[in-house]
Amino acid sequence: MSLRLRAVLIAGISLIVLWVMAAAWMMRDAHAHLDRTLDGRLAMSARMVAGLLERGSLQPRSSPADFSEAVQVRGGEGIACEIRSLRGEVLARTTGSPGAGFDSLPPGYSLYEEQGRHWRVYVLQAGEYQITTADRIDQRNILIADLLRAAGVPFLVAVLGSLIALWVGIGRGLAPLKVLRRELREKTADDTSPIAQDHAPAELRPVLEAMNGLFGRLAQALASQRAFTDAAAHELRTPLTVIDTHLQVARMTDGEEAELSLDSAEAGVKRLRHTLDQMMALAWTEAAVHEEDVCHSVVAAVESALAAYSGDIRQRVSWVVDGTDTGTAVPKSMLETAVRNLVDNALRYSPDNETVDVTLLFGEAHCLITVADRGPGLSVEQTAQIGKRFWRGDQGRRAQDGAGLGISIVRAIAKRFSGELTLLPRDGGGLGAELRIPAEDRS
Amino acid sequence: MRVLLVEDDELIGKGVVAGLRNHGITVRHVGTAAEAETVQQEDAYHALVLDLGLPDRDGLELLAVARAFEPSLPILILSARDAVEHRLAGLHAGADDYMVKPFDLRELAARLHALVRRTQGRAAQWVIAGPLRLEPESGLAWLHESAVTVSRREVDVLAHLASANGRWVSSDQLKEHLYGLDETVSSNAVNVHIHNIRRKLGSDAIETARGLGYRLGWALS
Repeated sequence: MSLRLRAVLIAGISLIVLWVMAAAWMMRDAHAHLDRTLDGRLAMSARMVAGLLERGSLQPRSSPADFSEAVQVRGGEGIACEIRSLRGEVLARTTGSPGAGFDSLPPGYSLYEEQGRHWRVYVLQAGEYQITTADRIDQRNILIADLLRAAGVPFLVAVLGSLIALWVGIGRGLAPLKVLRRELREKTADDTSPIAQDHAPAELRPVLEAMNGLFGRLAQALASQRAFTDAAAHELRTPLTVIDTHLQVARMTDGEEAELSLDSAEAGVKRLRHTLDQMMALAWTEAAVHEEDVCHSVVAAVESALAAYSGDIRQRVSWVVDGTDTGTAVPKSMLETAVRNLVDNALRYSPDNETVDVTLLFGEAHCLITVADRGPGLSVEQTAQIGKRFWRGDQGRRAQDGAGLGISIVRAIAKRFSGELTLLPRDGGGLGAELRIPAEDRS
Repeated sequence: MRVLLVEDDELIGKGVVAGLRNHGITVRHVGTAAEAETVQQEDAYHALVLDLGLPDRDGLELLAVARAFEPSLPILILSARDAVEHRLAGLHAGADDYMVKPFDLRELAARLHALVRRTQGRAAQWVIAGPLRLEPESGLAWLHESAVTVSRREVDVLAHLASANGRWVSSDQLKEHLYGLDETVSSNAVNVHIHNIRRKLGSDAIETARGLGYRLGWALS
């Protein structure tokens, strides 16, 4: 239901109820007042006639007589007057009076019915006369109805008028909403600029503020998504370019030069594969975990991660274990991936003659895996940047490997299993990566 | 033609150097903006090929610096950033052309030749002078409509003399054009090329004037 219709209905129905109650009250009061006034008039007329009779204009006759001998006066329709002697003789009456019924009525006000017609009657006994004045009730009702009709028409006009005013007024009042609707409709899909709220009414401001806040967050999300796709495109295009360029060169040349180009193209393929593997690994950190993929022994997982290195490289990694292996809640495959990435990074940035030290420290409810290298470490700026997808330290560019996803992958795994990755400068130079993971829940 | 390539990826750099060599372009490859600035001060290049994602500085910054020092230097951006905004930003920053990686080496070579040709005031890819027809990009030459085998350097010498448009070109200028400021190249190298050209095209192909240098023996048509 539209806001306008809703407001008009609520206000309109309340107004109509109020107006109807006021009208009912007025009608009841008017009816009672008019009845009292007309009754008063009946009594006054009776007393007026009594006053005139006291001056002796009509004498009671000695002999009884029936109606036909009485003085007949033409009265108006619906109004009657009758004068009798105390003995019951009719001395005078109006033509419209009912028949004999009046003589049996008590003094004062009473109701009388004859031939289906209702009369309001007032009987006054004054001196030797009994004066009866009467009004026909239906005439009275016509009078009251006329009166109410006269008062009711302006009343109805006022009711209808106020309803129309309500409809138009609320429509006008809701104009800022219409403006907002138009503004929103005219926005293009990627337009995240805020909506101006200089002229917005106070009620709309919080809505606009919330909306602008949303636009702001949306713009940020869009920007970071664009940065991600840009970076992803760059990381995929670069090795692809290596392959493409060297294949072209290999085609143009022959002999040793062609061989060299093919070697370079192969190196490009290796890099492309690594980048794709890392991207898949990052996506995989968010995928469902196989229920058999559990890790009862952190030591075994680290061992198997390090087993992937061979020869001289394996010799550069040393590791120590402190405490009792409690297992971990992180699935074995993911823990291996995380350790592998940390060790890869450490090896990549360390000088060739330095070892990478891996320490496993088991606590009450968690396990702390530290991978420390003797590389250049991280500046404050780099610490803020690291973990951004596809970001690499400047040093990494020369090495030409790594996709800039390693720390992102480890972070994603840590976050998913309520763990934490901290990168700290190491005493004596280098970087220490501390991965804290929860112990296995054995309950 | 000598081109400076600023590309942080070692393998791509190697590929471009090898690929453009086959298109008659000598490429000097550097990996950082700082190196590029040093090298550019040491030597003059006919064009600059620039990657945007450099490790020490943004490529657009380097572009602005290069443009400020050498307003007429043709600059081609070679980037993996393919979004329209990036391309616009590069062209607005003063680049003459923008190519997205991966790219075709033949296209890169053709575009570089076209850019350099423009700066040398030649619109056509042909040099026609008297009985000689020369296509510097492909390195092909014809004399009286029959093909003549000329070396890369010889084509370079002929094209440079043609671009001088009848003016004399000194031996030192010619040497700098061919080899840059490389001190190890002997001044005799240019003479050897001139001698070979005369041997292949006839002695009237190049005129010599003592103290002035060389010029093309035929008027350009």
